[in-house]
Amino acid sequence: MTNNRLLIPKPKILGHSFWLLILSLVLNCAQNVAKVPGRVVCLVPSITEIIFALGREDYLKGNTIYCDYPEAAKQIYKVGDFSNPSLEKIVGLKPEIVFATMPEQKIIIEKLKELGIPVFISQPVTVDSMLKEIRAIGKILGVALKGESLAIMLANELNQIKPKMVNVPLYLEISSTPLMTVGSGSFINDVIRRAGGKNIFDDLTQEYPVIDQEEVIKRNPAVIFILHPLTKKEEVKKRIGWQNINAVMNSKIYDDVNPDLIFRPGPRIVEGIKALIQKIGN
Amino acid sequence: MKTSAQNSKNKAGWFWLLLSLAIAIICSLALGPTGFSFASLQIPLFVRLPRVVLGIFAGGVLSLVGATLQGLLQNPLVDPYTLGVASGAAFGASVALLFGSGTNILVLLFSFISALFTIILVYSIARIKGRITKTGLVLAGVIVSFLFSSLTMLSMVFSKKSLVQTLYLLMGHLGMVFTAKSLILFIISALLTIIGSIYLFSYWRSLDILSTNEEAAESLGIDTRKVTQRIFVVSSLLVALVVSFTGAISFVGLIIPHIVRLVFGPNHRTLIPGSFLLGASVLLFADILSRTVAPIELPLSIVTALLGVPFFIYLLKTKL
Repeated sequence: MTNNRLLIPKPKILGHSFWLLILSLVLNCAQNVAKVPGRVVCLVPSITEIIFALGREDYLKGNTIYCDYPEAAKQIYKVGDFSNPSLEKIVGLKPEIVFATMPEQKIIIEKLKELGIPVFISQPVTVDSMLKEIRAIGKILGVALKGESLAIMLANELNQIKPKMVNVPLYLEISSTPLMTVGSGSFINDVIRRAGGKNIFDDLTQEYPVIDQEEVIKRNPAVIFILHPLTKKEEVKKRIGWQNINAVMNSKIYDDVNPDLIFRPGPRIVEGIKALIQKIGN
Repeated sequence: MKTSAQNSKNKAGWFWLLLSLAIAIICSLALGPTGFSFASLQIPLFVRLPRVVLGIFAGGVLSLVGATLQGLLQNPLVDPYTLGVASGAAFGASVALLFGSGTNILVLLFSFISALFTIILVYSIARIKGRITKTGLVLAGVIVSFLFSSLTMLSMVFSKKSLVQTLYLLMGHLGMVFTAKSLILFIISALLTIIGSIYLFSYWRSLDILSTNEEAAESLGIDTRKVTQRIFVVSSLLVALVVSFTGAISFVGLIIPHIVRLVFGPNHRTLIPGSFLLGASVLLFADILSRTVAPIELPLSIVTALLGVPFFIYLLKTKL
């Protein structure tokens, strides 16, 4: 009874012409889509933010568990974490382009290329190259004008930012067990420079080096930023041997800057630089 | 029993052990990014000294516990981590890093509590029909080790930033940043480990007998079961205290007792304190390398293994 519909014979009159019509429609659609990738997978939190800022989130079929801004980015299908995304999940989404970054995702990028999936490699070393990437992503997603205007808007805002001081020796702590900071990983250093600071560990080539606390004491920063939840500024003041550091003597230790604002090369970088300037010039 | 040749060889051995420890301490205090001058002793005393004491305490205790357990369990492959405590402590610390906010003391407490829990777990697994056996202990320790290693890896996967932190936790390092509070906690722990170490040393005669002939031990009036239980609990507590502060430094606890045995012989009265001294100085030298080779700090287990393996092979080839 319930399967009645299945018993109705196929309308043979339509025959070949019907299927040809469908085929041509499908081909037509596919052709339109091929111009702009409608299926995008993004493995980089900052680019997820850019895609949302460009209003192309409807194309975004998958991202990583680190893609947590804006709020809606959390609802998108997760293909894994930043350093270990699942190739199978990515391929399963049949992406027309994948956004990834080097060097952390080198292996997955090579595998995707072998499978013939186009990959956009994001590797902004300065704020300016981030703006270039925003333009490029706009073009790829078929919103070149929007990309252009977002880049121009950010550039204008950045030009208006004037740090109150320059080359203020600055120590950024990203972990206390063990003690870790940022090295010459260029993007964050450009952010620090634009905010009027100078990373005291910018001579180290590692991205996130583990350091000896004596080096911090020796390099004597004027400002300290604590960018991890495990330590509060009061605790830094109590560290044995740190009393003679300028930042500690002048109480210029800050633990309330959101690390994502300054580490992610995305649209929120203006906000991040402003937050740093406000603390440094305090 | 002892010949005079052995005696003088032992005396020379003690001399070299003490000398190398003294040199290690002096170098550790003198070397550092800010250099050294007698005019300003602030950095050597307040920044380097706690680190030196931490190194002596960690290297010494791990080697001493290694020597004790190797004797007790009659197994040359046993190290302080065989009984599962280290991975338990590392797991506790990684949980603190994952959920933690507040202070570093939280990491210390989490790892110690987790280590205590591990001891209870291993003990209850090893207790079969009301009896603790050596095989049971080693098996339970290894199983629990694997369990907590997996759980640590799991928390690594779920954590967003602490990958490197977990690595240093599992490979060990002495670069702890002390505040007055954590320093007091450390001094208390160090005092407790001294008491524990002396307690383990007091079993040297039983260990001598147990490690050569277990049946004879029973007939000589040694309660094997009780001795095994007590040494297991005290060793585990000592390792828990060390790992909470330094992470799991490998290699010293396994190899140092063998080196001391090659030089001094298998007698636990010399083996246990000898292991403490050599372990302490080797760890200090390893730490000097780990922090002076590059401006960044290397995980200690890398250095201890790179230093120790060639030296051990040399000893094995020439002394045996």
